[in-house]
Amino acid sequence: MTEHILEFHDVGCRYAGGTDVLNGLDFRLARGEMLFLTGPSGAGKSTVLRLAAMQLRATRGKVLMNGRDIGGIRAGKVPAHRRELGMIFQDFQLLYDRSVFDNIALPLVIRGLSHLDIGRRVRAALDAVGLLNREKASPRTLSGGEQQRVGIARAIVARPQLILADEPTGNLDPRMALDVMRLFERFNEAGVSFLIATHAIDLIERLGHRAIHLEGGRQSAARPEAASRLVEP
Amino acid sequence: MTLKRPNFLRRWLGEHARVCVAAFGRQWRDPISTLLTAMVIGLTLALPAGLNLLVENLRQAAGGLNQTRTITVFLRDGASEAEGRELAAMLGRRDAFAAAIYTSRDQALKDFRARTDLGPVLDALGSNPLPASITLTPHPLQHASDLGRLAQELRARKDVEQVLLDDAWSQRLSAALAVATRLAQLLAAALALAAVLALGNTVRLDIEARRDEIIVMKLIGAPPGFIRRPFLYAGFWYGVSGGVVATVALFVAMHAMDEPVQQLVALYEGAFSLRGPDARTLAGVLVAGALLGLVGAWLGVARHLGRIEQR
Ligand SMILES: Nc1ncnc2c1ncn2[C@@H]1O[C@H](COP(=O)(O)OP(=O)(O)OP(=O)(O)O)[C@@H](O)[C@H]1O
Ligand SMILES: [Mg+2]
Repeated sequence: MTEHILEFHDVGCRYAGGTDVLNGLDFRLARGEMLFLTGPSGAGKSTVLRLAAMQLRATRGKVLMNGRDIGGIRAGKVPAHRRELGMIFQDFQLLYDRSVFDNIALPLVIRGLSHLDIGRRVRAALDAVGLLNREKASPRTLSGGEQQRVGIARAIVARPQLILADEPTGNLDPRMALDVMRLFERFNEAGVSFLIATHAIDLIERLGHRAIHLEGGRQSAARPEAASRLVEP
Repeated sequence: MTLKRPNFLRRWLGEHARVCVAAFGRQWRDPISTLLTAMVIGLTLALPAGLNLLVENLRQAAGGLNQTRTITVFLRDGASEAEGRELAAMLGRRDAFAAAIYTSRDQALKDFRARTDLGPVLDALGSNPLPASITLTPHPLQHASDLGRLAQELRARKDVEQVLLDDAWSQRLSAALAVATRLAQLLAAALALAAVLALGNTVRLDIEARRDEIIVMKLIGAPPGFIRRPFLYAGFWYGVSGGVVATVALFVAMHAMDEPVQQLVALYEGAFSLRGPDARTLAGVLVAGALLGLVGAWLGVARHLGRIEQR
């Protein structure tokens, strides 16, 4: 096992026909670490996460996961790569035509687990996010915070080593946002690594984890809280 | 982190069964659009199958009429009645003919008088203008081209004046049936193409309708086969429904055709009943429908599934 679960080596990225979105981005995410990406809108935070999830490929440099260069992964192996991750989104990306239980079960269904295993693991995940009594509910009937907890349960249910979260608290009020972060910390204490893109500087300060500040596709000074507060709402 | 997979095959089959049933249920809950798609495939199958069936029936009918076809050999006046009878006996022993009947000049005259009112005209002629003849009835299974060759052989004989082979119409019929068969094949190919394209479009709409689901599936790393599966089963069911529609259409068409065909056959004094589609034809229609459905869905999926991405 490598010391770092995710490594960006001098990574550059450019969308088709556009200018460089990332420029020489270089950082490591240690196994078991919880790392934040901050920066103004358009800085390239989501792009970093898309690179890690292989929704995009770097146009320069290397992205390693578990020490392996994922730039060389064939298109056909991308799903297998994604199954090693958990992903959490600002807009939850839940399926509203099925129950909370079925949403959380999806990652297990695609892995071909038995009904018994699926039931056991989904309930454990529901328990972990505090939604045990809502498994039959439609996600539509849940609050934003509860929906995000369904998203988190879906991300952790297959026990990935790394979770990528893109503004997971962006649609939540400050109290719910803190709840979600506390939930992340609990999984983090259990050994799951996190890479979280967020605007919520005050939350990061409060939690005291390492943060990388992006500005125009580059890393800027180590702890730019004061500067970022000027551009963040 | 490794996930245990006991009984993998059983679970895989179970998963297929689940998706298969779910795809059926989805269409069952949307009967109008399912029926429309099934009709497109159903007509695609029913038209060529029906045309083929018609050709088969006509062939059958033509085979029945074979028995009434005859070859008439007119003998030269120089040939004696004994020679004529001998030739008739000789031809009658041949495999190609079921019967050979000699008609003498006198007999021909008598028959002619009996059939017509032209007796006085013949009397005025003074002599009998009618030739002796041999009427040959070919064996029912005798092929038309073989009969043509036999007729040539008979024409070459010195004692034969003329050979009349009344099978021109049957050759024309054979040729027409061959054209109809080819037409059915071309029709089948053109319609199959149209059905596959129509189905591809239906699948595109299905894919659009389930866009969110596909995006989530891709994000959580579902294998492409897993994402494709519901759409392929949907295509399969569209195809099978189309096969059922085609079957019903064939039976309805047969039923509607039965009476007029019976009347037509009666006019030709033939004994013939319309044959409906047999089990093999029906199985073929269903299998062809399922295959068309799968191919159409596969093309639709190949064209449209890749385009669905987040944002
Ligand atoms: N699909 C795309 N095609 C072209 N350019 C894109 C695309 N997606 C993002 N960009 C550009 O890349 C830059 C970085 O975008 P990105 O989404 O990574 O920013 P971000 O830091 O996540 O911003 P936000 O805080 O608003 O989510 C932006 O300038 C954006 O316009
Ligand atoms: Mg973003």
